Amino acid sequence: MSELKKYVDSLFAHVKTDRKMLDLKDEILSNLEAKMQDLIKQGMDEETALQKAKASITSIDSMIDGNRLVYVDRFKTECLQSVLLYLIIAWILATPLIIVRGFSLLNALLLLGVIGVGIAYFIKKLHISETVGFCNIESFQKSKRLIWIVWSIFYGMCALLITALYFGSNIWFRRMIHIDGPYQFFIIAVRYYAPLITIFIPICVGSFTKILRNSEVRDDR
Amino acid sequence: MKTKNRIIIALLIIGTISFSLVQFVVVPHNIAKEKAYQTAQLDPTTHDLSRILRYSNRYMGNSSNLINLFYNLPLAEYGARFQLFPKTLALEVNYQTDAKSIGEEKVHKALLYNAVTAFSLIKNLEKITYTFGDSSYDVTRANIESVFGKNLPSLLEKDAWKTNVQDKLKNRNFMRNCMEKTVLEKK
Repeated sequence: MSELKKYVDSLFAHVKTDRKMLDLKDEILSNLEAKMQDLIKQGMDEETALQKAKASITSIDSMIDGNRLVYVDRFKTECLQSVLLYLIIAWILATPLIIVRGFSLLNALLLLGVIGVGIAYFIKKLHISETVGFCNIESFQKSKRLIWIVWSIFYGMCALLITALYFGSNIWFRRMIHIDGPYQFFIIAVRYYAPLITIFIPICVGSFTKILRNSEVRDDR
Repeated sequence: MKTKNRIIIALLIIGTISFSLVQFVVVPHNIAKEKAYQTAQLDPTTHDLSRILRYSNRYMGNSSNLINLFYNLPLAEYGARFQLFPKTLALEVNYQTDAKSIGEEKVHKALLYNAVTAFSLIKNLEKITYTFGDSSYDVTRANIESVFGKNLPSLLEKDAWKTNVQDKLKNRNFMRNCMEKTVLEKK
């Protein structure tokens, strides 16, 4: 394996190897080889030409599609802030559920989440540095799509299970659905409502993409 | 970022107020209400008819239905064992305590109430024997019908139940008459 190929491999060590990356790798390697040959033709010795070619590309981060240079700490802090905001909203939405037996745990867990993330956010906010780094916006968008799919499946399953539990026999035997009164209706509605609160998770993850854009390093910094 | 922080603080205030309201006002109020309701179920004159209507059945042989009915009637708090006699359409309820420790007046009222309920809901039940550690009582459908009327199922309606059963049981003269006429026969 040539020295130049080893160098290009090391540049790609931290990225996932897919077809796009392999193409980019090939392109960079052929460019560097061409550059090295050019320098040798101009009278440079092989070792110096190799070093010069290596020095021309020290990182491939800026060449990867979707990679954005961002203020890392600012990005992480704003993500924590977003998580905190949505957790508080979910906690408020889960508060009326305390009166229904068996649902107070959900509220307690969300309250613990608010406290934990709140402390983490407060600590992080005290130490924001101007460190910059690359984040891939495409992988965030992919995660956003994936989490919406997972959540939709989760809620669909919950809704199906609750429907089967309460109305399964009515549907099976084609009998009219009968609800005893407002309290019974409230209890059934709560069963559908409680898992719906988890919608804050995909919404929160979705907000990370916008935060990433806002945390980008601008040329006029 | 600052605007979001302000929203977070506002939401935290709203969340804390609503959480405190629910946790320290609504929940204790509901618990007290539930406790009061459960206490009312121990008294025949305040017992809720709607919670036992589901035990209506044509046959006394459905033991789980019958036992569940009695677990939802006054005196259930003292614990009871049941014996069914399908040939004579009779039921024996053995309460795990002495009638004296409960109080005779309270026992008579509860036993009459339980009998009216059982005969109204269980169509072919003819006789109930209640036994305590220190005494026992017999009550028959015919005796109950002689006091509360032939059409017992017609009593199973909120207002009729209150007027014709619960209010009557509050009346001391009515209770005395029942005991004198041996509607509830002490053995």
